[in-house]
Amino acid sequence: MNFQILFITSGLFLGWSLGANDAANIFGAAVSSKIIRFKIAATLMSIFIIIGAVISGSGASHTLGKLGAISQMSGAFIVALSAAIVVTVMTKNGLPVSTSQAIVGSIVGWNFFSKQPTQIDILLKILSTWFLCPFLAAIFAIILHKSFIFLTRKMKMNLFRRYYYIRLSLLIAGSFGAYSLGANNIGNVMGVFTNAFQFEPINILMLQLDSTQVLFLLGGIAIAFGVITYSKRVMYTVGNQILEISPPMALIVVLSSSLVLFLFASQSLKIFLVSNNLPSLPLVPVSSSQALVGSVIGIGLSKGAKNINYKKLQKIAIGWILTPLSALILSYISLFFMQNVFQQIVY
Amino acid sequence: MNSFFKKSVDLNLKIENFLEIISDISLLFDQVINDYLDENTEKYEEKIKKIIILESDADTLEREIKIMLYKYTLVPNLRGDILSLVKDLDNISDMIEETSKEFLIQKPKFPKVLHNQIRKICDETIKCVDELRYATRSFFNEVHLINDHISKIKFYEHSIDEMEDEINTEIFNGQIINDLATKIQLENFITKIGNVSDEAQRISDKLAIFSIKREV
Repeated sequence: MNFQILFITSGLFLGWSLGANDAANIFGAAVSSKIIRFKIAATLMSIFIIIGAVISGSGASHTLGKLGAISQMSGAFIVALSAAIVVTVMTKNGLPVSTSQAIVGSIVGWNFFSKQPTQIDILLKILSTWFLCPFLAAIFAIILHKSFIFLTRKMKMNLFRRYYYIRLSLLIAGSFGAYSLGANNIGNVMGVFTNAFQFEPINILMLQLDSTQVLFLLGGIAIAFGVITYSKRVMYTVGNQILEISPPMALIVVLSSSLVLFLFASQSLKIFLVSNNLPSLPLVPVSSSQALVGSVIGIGLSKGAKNINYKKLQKIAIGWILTPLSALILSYISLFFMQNVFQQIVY
Repeated sequence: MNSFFKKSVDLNLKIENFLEIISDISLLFDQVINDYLDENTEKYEEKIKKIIILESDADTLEREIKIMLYKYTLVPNLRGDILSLVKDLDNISDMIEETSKEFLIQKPKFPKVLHNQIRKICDETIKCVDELRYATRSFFNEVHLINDHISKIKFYEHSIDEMEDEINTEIFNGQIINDLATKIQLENFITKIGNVSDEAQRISDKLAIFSIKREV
C-alpha cells in the first residue's frame, strides 16, 4: 500500500498542478474582481472538485484507459510524471498547455514504448474534442450572452439586485464548474493508474467507494490542495490578464465553460442522449483553459466583434501539437530509463 | 435575502430622492434667475433660501448613501463608481447653490437686451440637468437606454456653450456696458451658469464609461 502511494505521487503532483492552474478558469474572474472572496471560492471548489471526481470521474477516465491500458505501477508513474513535467515546464515558460493534451501524448508514448497498438478511432475521438471543446464553449457563450441581454432588458432589474443575483449565480455556476472540472479532469490525474492499482473499497458517509473511486478521491484531494495552496496567485496574475471582463460576462464565461466540461464528463447525460437518439459527445478529459478562451471569443462574436484575437487561437493550435508531442517524447525516454536504469517493469 | 432586498430598495430610494433634490434645485435656480431678472427681490431671496435648505438635504443624503454603500458588501469596483457618481452629482447642487448666493451677494446688473438670452441659457441648463437625472436613473435600472440621455446632455451642453459665447461677445464688444469691472463681473456670472452644464457633461462621460464597464 505504501509503495503504491509512492507510485501515485506523480499523479498527485499532476493533480496539484491542475488545481493550481485551472481553478483560475472557474473562479478567476470572480475572485480577481473581488466579487467573491478567495476563501469562499477555494472552499466551494475543493468540495465540488472532490464530489465531481468521485461521483462522475469514471466516464472521461475510461476513454483514456482505452487509449492505453497501462497495467504496471511504474509505467503509470512515468506516464503521469512526464505529463506533469511537461505541464510545469511549459507553464513556467508561459507556453499554452493543457493537462489533457499532455496526458494523451504521454499515454501514446507508453503505447510506442510498450509496442502496444494505439487505437486510432479512440485517438481521433480525443483529438476531435480538442477542437470541439473551444468551439462548443463559444456556441454556449453566444446563446447565454443573447439570453442574458434579453432577460436583463425584459426584467428591468435594478443594478444592486442584478449584482446580487450575479454574485449568487457565480457561486452556483462556479460550484457547478468545479464539479465538472473534477468529473472531467480527474481522468488526466488518475486515469492512467486505474488499471495498475487496486485499492480496498472504503466507506465514507454511508457511501461505498470502489478502488477507482478511492483513487479519484486521492486525486480530487490533490487538485483541491492545488486550489488552496497556489491558485490564488494564479487568479490574481494570469487570471487577471485573461479576463478583464465585467461580472455578467464572467458569469457567462464560467457557465459556458462548465457546461462544456460537464458535457464531456457526464455518463448519465450521454446515456440520456443516446437513449433518445440524440447526438452525444465522447467522454474525454478536455482543457478548461481552452473552454474559457472559446467562451470569451463566443461573447466577442455575440457582441459583433470583427477583430477576433487570432493570436490566441493560434496559441491553442500550437498547444495541440507541442504539448502532446513533448509529453510523448519525454514519456518514451523516461520509460526507457525506468526500464533499463532502474530495472522496473513498465508494461 | 429579504434583508438584502430591503436594503437594496432603501438604497435605491435614497439615490432616487437624491436625484429628485438635484432636479428641484435646478428648477428653483431657473426661477431664481427669472425672478432676479424681473426684479422680484422677495421671491428670489425666498427661493435661494429653499435652494440652501435643499442643498443641505442633498449633503445629508449623500452621506447616508455613502454609509449604506460601505455597509453593503458590494463589489468594490461598483461601490467606487457609485460613490464617485454621487459625489459628482452633489457638485452640481453645490455649484447651483454657490451661484445663487453670489446673485444675492453681488446683485449683478444685466442689461435688458441680454435678459432673453440669459433666461434661455437657464432653460437649457435645466434640461441638461434633467437629462443627467434620467441618464443616472438608466444606469441603475435600464443601462441600455443610457446613451440616448448622454447624447441629449452633449447637445444641450454644446448649445449652452454657444449661447455663453454669444452673451460674452455682447458684453465685451456690444457697447452695452462701458465699465470693464462690470463686464468681467457679468462674464463671470455667465460662466458660472455655463459651468453647471459643463459639469453635467463631465458626469455623463463618466456614466458612459461606468456603463461600458458593466456591459453584458
